[in-house]
Amino acid sequence: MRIYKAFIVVMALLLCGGCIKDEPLSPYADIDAFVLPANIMLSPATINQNNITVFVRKNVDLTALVPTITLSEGATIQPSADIPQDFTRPVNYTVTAPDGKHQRVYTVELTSRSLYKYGFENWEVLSSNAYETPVEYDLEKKRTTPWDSSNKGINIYVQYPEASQYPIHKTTQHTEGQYAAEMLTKNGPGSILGIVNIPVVAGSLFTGVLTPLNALKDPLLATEFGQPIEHKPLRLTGKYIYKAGADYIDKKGLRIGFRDSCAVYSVFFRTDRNLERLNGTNILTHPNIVAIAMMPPAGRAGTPNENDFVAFDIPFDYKTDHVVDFDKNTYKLVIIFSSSYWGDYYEGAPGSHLVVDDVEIITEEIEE
Amino acid sequence: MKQKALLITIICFIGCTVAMAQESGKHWEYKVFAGYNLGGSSPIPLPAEIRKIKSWSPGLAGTLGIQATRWIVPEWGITSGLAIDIKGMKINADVKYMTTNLVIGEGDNTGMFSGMFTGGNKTKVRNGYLVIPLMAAYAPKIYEDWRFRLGGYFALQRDANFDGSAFNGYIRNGGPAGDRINVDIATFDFSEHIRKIDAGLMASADWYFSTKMAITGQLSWGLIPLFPSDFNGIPYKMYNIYFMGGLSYKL
Repeated sequence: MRIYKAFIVVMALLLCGGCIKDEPLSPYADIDAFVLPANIMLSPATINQNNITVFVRKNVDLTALVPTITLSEGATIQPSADIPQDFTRPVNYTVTAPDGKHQRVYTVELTSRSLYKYGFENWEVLSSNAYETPVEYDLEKKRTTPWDSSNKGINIYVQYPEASQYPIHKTTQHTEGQYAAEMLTKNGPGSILGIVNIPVVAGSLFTGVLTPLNALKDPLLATEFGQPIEHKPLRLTGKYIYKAGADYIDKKGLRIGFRDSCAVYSVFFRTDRNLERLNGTNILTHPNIVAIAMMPPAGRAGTPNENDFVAFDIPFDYKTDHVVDFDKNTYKLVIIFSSSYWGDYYEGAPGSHLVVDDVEIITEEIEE
Repeated sequence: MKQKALLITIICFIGCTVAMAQESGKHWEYKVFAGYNLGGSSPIPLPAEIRKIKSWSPGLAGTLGIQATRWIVPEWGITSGLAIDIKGMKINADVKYMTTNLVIGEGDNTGMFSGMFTGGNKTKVRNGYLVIPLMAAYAPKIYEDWRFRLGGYFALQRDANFDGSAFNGYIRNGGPAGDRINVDIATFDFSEHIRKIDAGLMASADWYFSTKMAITGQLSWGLIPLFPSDFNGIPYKMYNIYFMGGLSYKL
């Protein structure tokens, strides 16, 4: 009985300090959705961290648009979404969390032009972390953010102090312009909290967006590939340097006699209600794929020497049963580079090294 | 092995003190005791991040020890001794906006998984200590079956286990403005970060229901956080707060 009483007293003491407190106010200040009227918007907005990119139809007036913005619960926005904005230039929105302490500044950019040339001359830190991502400027000198990279995924669990330490970074190794894109396969951290084993991280750069939501459990779904395109692509051109690393590692460890290779390819596909973007599971197999430009195995194995760029010019291989019609359908194109072909499966040879520059999609219209 | 060696040491110690007890007469009083530990390695008060405690269980945790009391003046004395103490619990809670920083990998590839977690959390604690108490003892004349003690303790951590999982939730990478990442289940193990020492307040009561046997309750309230201040895995300080219920035998 005594013990029982004493226990009651102790538990009462513990409970004094053990009462559940009031729920803290949400620290989230997110724009969850950004929508423009269907007669203006060509493709759903891409929300990539604090950048919102919307692909709009040509020849529409963008000077006074009222978007529909969905915020995280209880958050507030400045300026109010009801106020018409001139979207011919970037528009900033500041979202404040219910706790009043946390804010996010979003930049919304509207574009009506597909990019066909990528020089990798401009790199920006798009998040609060150190890594850089190439941004491009179109013919009207408008900034666009078509690229995303495995840096974002890697940054979830490794934060390097310098941008140059991340698997994808700018390099001064080049023939034209100032910079080229360099990708490096590195040793991974191993087990991530029992969720996934990552022995190797590859540098992958692609057009689209990396969505970390399910990145740990299912990294192949995290890479959402594709940007709108308005012309039929014929060839993927550019120049590259590639050298495979010495020891190939997969999830079981060292794989003897296996050689790393790089990924250099582009996929042209039709979007529909069920498919806005391809991902790592279906990038080469989805029935909506219309054409693929894939660097042949000999080219993927490497270039003759480490300092000289080799030009590539890869034709798109079209499926015969689809007639490309931009009036009836909308299409997207993805360009993918990776220092390890199977890098999305956390395989590759640490030290594999890919540099690309002056990439261009030659389209039908440009050829004509 | 360590535990075994310790147990042998304690048994020898008990043997020695029994021998001493038989010589020293009524100024000295010795008891051996064993009991079951109920409590928690817990933040006090509970932080707002903890939204709901779904279950708590003490697990297999107990104390085995010996205490010697030197009676100095009538009714009053000083108690010290030695005990093996296993403090443990299992807890299943819901947390919200909990900041965590977890070290991942080794050597050059070491990374940090940090952010704000919302979801379920299961934690299993089982830490072994070697405890040395120092308490004032009170034997009231009018209740001669009772002994009360109040003071403090110092403990050396011998074996630490602090692990668990985060599940059915998400983490905002890097902080509230970071990308949301779903976490089905992730495991963590903070065992190696548990502090090597602990110290705090201690109070106990014995009720002798026979000349030799007593029912004993002993509260130990840790005042040193379980983790050192440079540890960032858990955003709040946790303390060992345990109640032992058991039996004592007067030697």
